[in-house]
Amino acid sequence: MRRQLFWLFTATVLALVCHVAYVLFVPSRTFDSAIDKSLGQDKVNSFAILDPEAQVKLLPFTAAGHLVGVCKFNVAKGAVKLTASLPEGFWSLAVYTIRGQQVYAINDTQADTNTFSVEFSRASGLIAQMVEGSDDQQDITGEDIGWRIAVSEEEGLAVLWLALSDPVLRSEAESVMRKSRCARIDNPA
Amino acid sequence: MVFKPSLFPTVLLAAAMGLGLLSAQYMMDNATGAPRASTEKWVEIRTDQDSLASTYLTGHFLRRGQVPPPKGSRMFVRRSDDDGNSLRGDCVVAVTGKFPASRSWFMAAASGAERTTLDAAQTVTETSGETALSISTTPVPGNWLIPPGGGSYELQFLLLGADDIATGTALSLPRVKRLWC
Repeated sequence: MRRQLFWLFTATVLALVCHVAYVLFVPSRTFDSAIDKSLGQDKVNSFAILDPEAQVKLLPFTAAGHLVGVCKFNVAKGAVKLTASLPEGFWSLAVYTIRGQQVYAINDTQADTNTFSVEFSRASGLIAQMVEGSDDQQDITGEDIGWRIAVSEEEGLAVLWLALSDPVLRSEAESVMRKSRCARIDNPA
Repeated sequence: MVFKPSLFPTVLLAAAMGLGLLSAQYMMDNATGAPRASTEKWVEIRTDQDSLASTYLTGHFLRRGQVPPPKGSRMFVRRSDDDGNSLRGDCVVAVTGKFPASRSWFMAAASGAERTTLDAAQTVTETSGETALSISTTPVPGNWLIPPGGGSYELQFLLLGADDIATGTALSLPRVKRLWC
């Protein structure tokens, strides 16, 4: 009886461990490979505009007429800067960790500008924060309207999404968005 | 001495592993809060909250290789019309109402990987502020959304730039009515 109870307890713990491990690791791995598949050769620390087919797969809540640019960043070897250039209209920037957690979001009315930069860096650990003091989430400089985002994980995804009022405007909007850049700060593109 | 595993623990542990993995998949698949009963109407999906449910909701999108809806948007889903009839591709369905104030909106009819979409830019709104669209396999006058195949589908409604609408506020969401099959 005690032997059977032991195995039942072990099985319960194993089921819980498998459940938690799956929830924590499998979706993020699938998400990561879906991003890589969508980006093709332009992978880490570079800006790319998604073609309509890849865009609808990655962001199913967008219409094919919308325009989406993404930067998969990796801050393991240093901060990454996204310099965004957008046309007039309704746009939003959403920043996700590779586990899908949204760490930052801003849209055109909140930003009040269509050209800005965002710097991604690795968030300090709890002990480092206690030693160094608080970590600034946003830092507006004099020359450039910029935000500094400390991300809890090494990898993440910045999504620039423009909802076009007319699909005919796509090529014009795309030419403006193509000026956007995403690169490591010590090795700018 | 030869190790000889007994059958009971081996089967039990294998079953436990399977149960753990399958329950994780099931909970993420069904985490959207999508209505199960045919009487339920629009159900909101929120992935921007720090909660255990949000982990499964986020996993729901990630597991399909999809980015979760961004903050500042409000997403709703439904699988039945106002009378409780399931949404089917072989029926003509009318979606009408004054859509909530937002910068833009987006509607999709989704069945598995298949989906058809319509957004504010592709839609004509009446002078009264009401929007009317038809979901039908055959062309209909006015705003027209083609259903994804002839089977049942889910209607998704996303409000973009809806930051000013407080969470929990009762929204006037569009009415959905089956016209004929």
